[in-house]
Amino acid sequence: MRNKILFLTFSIITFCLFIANIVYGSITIPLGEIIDTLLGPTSDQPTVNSVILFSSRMPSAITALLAGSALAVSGILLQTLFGNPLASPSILGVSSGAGLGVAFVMLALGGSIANMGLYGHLAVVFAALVGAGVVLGTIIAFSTKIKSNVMLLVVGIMIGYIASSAITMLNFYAESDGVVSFIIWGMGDFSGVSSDNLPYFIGFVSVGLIFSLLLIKPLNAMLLGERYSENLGVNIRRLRLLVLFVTGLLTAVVTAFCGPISFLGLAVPHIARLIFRTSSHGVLVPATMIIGSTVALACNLLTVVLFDGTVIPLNVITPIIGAPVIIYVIVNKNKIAYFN
Amino acid sequence: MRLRIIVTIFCFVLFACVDEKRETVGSKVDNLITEAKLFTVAQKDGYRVLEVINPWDTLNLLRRYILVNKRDSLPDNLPEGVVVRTPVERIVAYTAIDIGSLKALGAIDKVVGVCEAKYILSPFIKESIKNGNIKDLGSYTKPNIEQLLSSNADLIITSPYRGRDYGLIEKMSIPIAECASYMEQSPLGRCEWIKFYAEFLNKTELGDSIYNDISNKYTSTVNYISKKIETRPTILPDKRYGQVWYVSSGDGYAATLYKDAGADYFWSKIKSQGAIPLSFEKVFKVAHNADVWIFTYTKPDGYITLKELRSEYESYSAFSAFKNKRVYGCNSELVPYYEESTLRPDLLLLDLAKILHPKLFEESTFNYYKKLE
Repeated sequence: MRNKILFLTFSIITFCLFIANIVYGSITIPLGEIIDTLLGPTSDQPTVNSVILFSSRMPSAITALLAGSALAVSGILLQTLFGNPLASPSILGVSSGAGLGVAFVMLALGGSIANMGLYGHLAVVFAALVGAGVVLGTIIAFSTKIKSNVMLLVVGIMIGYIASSAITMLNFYAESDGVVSFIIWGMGDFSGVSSDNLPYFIGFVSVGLIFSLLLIKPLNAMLLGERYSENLGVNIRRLRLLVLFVTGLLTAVVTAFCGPISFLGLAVPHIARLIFRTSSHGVLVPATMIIGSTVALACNLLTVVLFDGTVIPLNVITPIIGAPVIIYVIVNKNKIAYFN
Repeated sequence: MRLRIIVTIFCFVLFACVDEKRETVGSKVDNLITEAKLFTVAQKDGYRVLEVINPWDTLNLLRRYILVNKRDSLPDNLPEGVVVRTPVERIVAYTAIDIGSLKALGAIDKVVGVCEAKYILSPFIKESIKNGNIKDLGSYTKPNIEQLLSSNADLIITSPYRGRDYGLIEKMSIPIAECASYMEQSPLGRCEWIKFYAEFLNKTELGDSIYNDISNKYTSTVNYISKKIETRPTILPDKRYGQVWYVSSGDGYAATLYKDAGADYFWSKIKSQGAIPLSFEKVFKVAHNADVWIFTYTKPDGYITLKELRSEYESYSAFSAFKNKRVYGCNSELVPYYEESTLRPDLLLLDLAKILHPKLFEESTFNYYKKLE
């Protein structure tokens, strides 16, 4: 019953934040005009309000809704797989791998995504997928040799450093326009997905989220330890591959379209565990999805309402929300039920 | 009473300090510079004094150069400053702007090293780098010191930025000419820095004549436009960088150019140091009906099209200028925009005038911009 109330509460909060993302922006549009615009066009020509609402705020809100879920779910899957509360796409180097793919397209091939059109965007997504895939593939290869999940986490961190080193090298030799584009991409942005690209984004993320829901049962078994879960009939090797594929897909797609969003993947699973007070993935995976959306929508809203007239980078906001959660979790590790 | 004394002493100390800080040797004597605000030149007995004012603290000098002709012996009692024996023969140029100015002064063959080679379009420089006659020193923020030393340069021309530390280069006894032209707020002010380069080459007269020629052309175009135009079309500059759209302030270089070209600039009343960061919504609300839209970009293999612009950010297509196909881009990888435009505001003005008033300038051809297809 408690969980149902919590799910309902977060659904309402998410819905309200979604509406707030549509209503509030860097310019003020009266509520009446917003409703008129949303209910239907009064003329064939798009108005200023319709362009802002349908081409700017709406895609940005939908992107935040899905990207938040995707990163948060990636975080919880990796935390369970590695049995480590500090595992996340960014800590494991998956984001860096995706970033390396993006850096390769933006810096080594010259220019920014800006000048590459739709195919450029898809090229960036593909490059991010390849980058994330290479990192995950390497971790998987090591996973056959290294049995300890903690050690595997360390390997992931090391691979992340190597990817970062390659990114620094690409930055050094790149032209300043490419470097500027890459730096700006690195600041994170939910508004970069246009309505043309939105169907691709929704498609990729939906596939990843559906796959993650299918992993609930074996992940619950994993909580008992690898040996126990093997006794329960879980194919650990296949599970590892599936988890790494799903997290790779979700992280790569979000990173390619929105930049490397920090802290959501790490912090949201902890927020979900603290609020829902359970370690069952049947509850935690959907809870993480919905809280991920809530936090991402709140962050997106803050980027436009904090300073009048301009938009501050997303990665200015996410650590402010994410870091205190992680610090709280580390400080209160002994008191928090799910660690014991 | 005590308070008055304290205030008097404070004012005395304050003004004494200011006077000491900006003890210019140049501007008090000659009035050779008309538009540029950040450097002065003065002829003295046996030497010339070239002073660069600190753009970020105009009460202070950035650097003072004492220019002494190589044929003459060094005069006694020279004022404090960097002594440069002129004309210099071996120059390291840090930016593409320097290359454009040296080319105009017929001194491009004196270049022995360059930074940021990828932004230089000059065939002579490209060929010389390829055959090893000019050294590619890499990034202008961190040039290769060993290569720079081996170039035997007798002058480094660079572009200063706030708090710039030249590190080892400062200790190498090669004079550093800090060209702050980009901090000038008027197009002709930037152009007048050709005289700064000319001083190091003993080509003062050539520098003056180049500037006068360009200045006359610029002024006559401005006068022609102001006489002929009946309306001022609105202009939208630049495009989004991430979530932010930077627009020039109303008292800046670009705003002056737009005004001189007969445009109505949306942000002309906003005064700000540097560009103003705005959201897409703010820009669209104000400028969705802009008559023309201009921006610079880089694309190595051709020119950006309207279709590509739309796929970059779909909402761009909602601007009237986009719908009316009045979007103009300058691909700085294919045209020498950075090399030339500082020195040639007359050509840049002609481009803008043709964009804004196509019927008035039917005969002229574009120098830097191109209409998006």
